[in-house]
Amino acid sequence: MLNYIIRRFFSYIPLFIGITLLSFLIIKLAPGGPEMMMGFGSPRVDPQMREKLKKVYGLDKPVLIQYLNWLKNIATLNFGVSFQDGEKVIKKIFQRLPATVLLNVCSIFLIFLIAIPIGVYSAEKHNSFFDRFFTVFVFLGFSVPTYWLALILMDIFGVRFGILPVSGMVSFGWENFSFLKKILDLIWHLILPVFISAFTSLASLTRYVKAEMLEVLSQDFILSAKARGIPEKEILWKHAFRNALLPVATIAGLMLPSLIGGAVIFETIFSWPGVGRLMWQAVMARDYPLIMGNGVFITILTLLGNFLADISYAYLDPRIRYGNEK
Amino acid sequence: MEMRKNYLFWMSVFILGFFVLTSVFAPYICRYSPSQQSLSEKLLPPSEKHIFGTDEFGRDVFTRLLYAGRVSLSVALVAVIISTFLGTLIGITAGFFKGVVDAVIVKIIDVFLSIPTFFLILMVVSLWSPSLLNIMIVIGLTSWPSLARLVRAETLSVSERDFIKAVESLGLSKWRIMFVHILPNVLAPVVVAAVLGFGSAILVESGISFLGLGIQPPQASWGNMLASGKTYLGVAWWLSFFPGLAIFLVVLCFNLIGETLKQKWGGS
Repeated sequence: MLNYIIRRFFSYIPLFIGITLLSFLIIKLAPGGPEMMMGFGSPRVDPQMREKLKKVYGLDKPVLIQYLNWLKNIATLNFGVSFQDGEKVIKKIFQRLPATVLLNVCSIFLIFLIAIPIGVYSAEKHNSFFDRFFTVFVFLGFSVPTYWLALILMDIFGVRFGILPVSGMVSFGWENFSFLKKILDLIWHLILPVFISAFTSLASLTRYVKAEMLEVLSQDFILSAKARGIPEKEILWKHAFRNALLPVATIAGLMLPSLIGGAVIFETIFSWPGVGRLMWQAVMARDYPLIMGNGVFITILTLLGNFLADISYAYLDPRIRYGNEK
Repeated sequence: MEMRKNYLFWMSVFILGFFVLTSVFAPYICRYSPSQQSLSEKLLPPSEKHIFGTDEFGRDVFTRLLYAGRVSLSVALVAVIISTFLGTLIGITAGFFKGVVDAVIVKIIDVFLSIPTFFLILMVVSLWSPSLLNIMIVIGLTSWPSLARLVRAETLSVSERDFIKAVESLGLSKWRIMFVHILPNVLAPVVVAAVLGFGSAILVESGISFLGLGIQPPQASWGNMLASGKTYLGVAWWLSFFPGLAIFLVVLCFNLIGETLKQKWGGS
């Protein structure tokens, strides 16, 4: 297992280099380049001063050296300071990270909780009414613009009936609530954002689970299990589902980029104090160090998520780790 | 089953055609101009005079919806052309040449697929200006990798087949084999991906416009119309309802058409 993890880890290195190189190139090629990004690119800055600053920041060195320096900064989590208030970018990100993690963990949990039973039963009762109903549902889920759905639900539940909060993570004066009330208040605020952020991925995972189940159910060992007279329910969950679960585990890792990317929209709509909204605020304020820091940090975090999914896959499926060690 | 599918397919084609035609001929259909303001008529609910109501500047929502369709559909069209071209070219190259070329391209595809695309688009749009052209290009440049992966897989299997071996032994040039003999055989999944890509490009464009980072007002796009409706939540539902419905219907139609084609052609 350890052998496998190490091997996997090294296979992520080219990916890491690719991603950081891409981000670096975006900065480098941006109009005004890194000078603009650090705040001395404007034509109002004295040219001599600019040359001096270029030297200070190492921008007079060859591109490769610049990239390596930049990598070093990333490795030490040094993303510079925000234009807006001079605070460290990394500090700002860490402040916002828990909110985003909470939201995404809740929605991944919800996605699996709902998608697995639906997918499994759709496969078992293939072409039944139940299956067709959810096929339609999956289609709608793929096509609906989630921000539109969010606005409609906010209008209905937040404004018309006033039973769910439409913005923020906690109520006013949350610090003074009792512990239980704090938790309940948080859950109350989580309902709409979690539902909305889970919606699209719910559709794709349902379809995925169904496809995997159909595949497994058509295999010979299922037929032989049936021949041995094992109850349908047991075959479905013990024999088929366990095998279908493996690829489903990896999809969780692949879902991360879209979930996190979508977070920018959900967090902005619901004024959720997470990194997605931080990104939006940074973009609106043209706060370049914050934009780049945020983008790079989130991307690396996603890569880490994929890595963990890979490992859990190998942990669940011995064929993967032994197959690779041969 | 087959009939039902076809029925949905033609229905989608019809609805899409309707959207395309009304957008193209918007100036001949609308009684108002999309930028014509009338402060005495602001935030009017749908009525006979303004069938989808008016917005906060008294502009006719129906008119703006049609003009926004021009923007949203053309952004998606150009983005899909860019991504289809890149995805096909890169995918065929990887699948045909194999070896080192393939390994490098696969890694590049992996890089793109593991980046939260939306963050990448925001990064680029915020550094360059959010002009119409830039948005088309950015969406196109970020959505090719999944197609490239698909085309690569198809190319790998096609190039194992006997007729490719035959043309190889005839000594045809590599480019000729790739584009005359392999390309037509991988075209089915490319068309399917392009149709489905249309839907997702519209979703992405309206997503960034919704955040205020895409198409800039006063030019209307479905996304930024939706965004302006957010301010009047609970006051004027029609501001965000109709643009959202337009996005939803168009994307749904593209998905239905794409899925039908996929099943018909047995693409992966």
